[in-house]
Amino acid sequence: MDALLLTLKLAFFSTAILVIIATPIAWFLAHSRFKGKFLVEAIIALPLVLPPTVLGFYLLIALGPDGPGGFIAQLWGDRTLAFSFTGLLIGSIIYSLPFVVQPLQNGFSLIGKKPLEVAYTLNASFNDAWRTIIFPLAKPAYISAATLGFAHTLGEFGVVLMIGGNIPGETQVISIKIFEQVEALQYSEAHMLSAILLGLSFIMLTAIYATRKSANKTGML
Amino acid sequence: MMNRKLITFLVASVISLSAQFSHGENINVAVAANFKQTLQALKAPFEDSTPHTINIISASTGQLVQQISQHAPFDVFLAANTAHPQLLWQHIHEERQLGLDALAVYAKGRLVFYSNFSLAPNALLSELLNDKRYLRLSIANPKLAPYGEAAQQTLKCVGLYDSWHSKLIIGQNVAQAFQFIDSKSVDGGFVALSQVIDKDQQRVRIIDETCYSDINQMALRLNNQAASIAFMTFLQSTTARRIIAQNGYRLP
Repeated sequence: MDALLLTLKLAFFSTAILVIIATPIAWFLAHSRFKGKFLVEAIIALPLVLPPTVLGFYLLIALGPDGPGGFIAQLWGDRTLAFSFTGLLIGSIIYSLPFVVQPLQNGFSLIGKKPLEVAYTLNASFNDAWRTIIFPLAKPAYISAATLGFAHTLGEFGVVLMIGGNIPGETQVISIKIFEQVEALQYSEAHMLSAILLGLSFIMLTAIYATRKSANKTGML
Repeated sequence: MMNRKLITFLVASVISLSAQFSHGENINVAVAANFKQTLQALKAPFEDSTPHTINIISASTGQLVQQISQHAPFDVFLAANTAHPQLLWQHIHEERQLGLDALAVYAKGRLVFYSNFSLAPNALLSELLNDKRYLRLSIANPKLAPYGEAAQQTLKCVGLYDSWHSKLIIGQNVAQAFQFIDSKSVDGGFVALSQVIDKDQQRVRIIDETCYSDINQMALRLNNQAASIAFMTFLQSTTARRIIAQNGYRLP
């Protein structure tokens, strides 16, 4: 159960941080007229097409003693950020970034700039406008983005395999645990964890498609 | 004149090609991660001394057993232990008509401590590991890899397992344990002697073999094809044994 709790914790924190980071990026991608926008879009979509091994390899180097991660780790007398929960969190955020940015970007495009401009002409503050106009309008997009980010982090395997180090309670997430159990021929344990993961993933995807449908009816997405 | 020469050449080519096809077979050899480099060194002498050729497939012993029991098209399996190939033999020997001669120990692995720092030549392993510079050590997964199990036994043997076990980084196999050290992600770790045979020997400490149980590496022939039998015979030959010993293994 340690592995399951750890996986849920990782997915929760990754998603929370991703929603915060992705909001300004998605707004920029949806509404900016900056000519180099396609470059930003391509960079953000990279984790969709790159094999997790490539991400894992670069992350291992970047988090290690010769990379920025090692520099940060030095602050508390360590040499690498790999093999720690923090390292996995950084990995997951990069790995799941497009899954959160893209639904938000689509949502913001559909809302358009108008509602915000109207709110400003009515003297609404930035905070007011976002809280009372954009967030409610973009709610289905946020639900999609968060659920996809969460589900995708649950399914993370290749990156964790390369930067995790399989430490129980710290980096041994459920997919790694299943891999180990299958290799050790412990099929019944592997079956149990796999069934849990299958169930969770199915429930989340059902939630996404259900909310999408109701959003479509109201002409939102 | 020209035509005759051309015909002679063509006939000769066809004969030599068909000779190759009728006698030589290409087999897939599945090898445990620690022995991969050595197998690569064995490939050329085997292919020179027989008409056969080999493909090398490498993963952890546990993973390969998995694939073989799901009918992966492998002809010979070089494991890093004896338990897995013996278990596999029990499952498949009737169906594949394999005798007990399909099993043979081909090498005995040796464990080393490999460090990113120079090691004082006369210091005990326990003294070396008490060095404050070591923050993390990597070992192969003791549940899956014989070298991981040996590493765990060694740490217990020198009385350091309790202080170290929470700071161990577990590789899926001994190749990943080595890669963690090589990329300087960890400060040192326990790997196979064969992996560090061409490295700076000041950073290598060979572990006392009384500290861990024997790492007998066993081969399992998975069918009765001529090339598979030839490869098993070759593994026991003087040439092969010399190469295996040069790569840091003891011989059975």
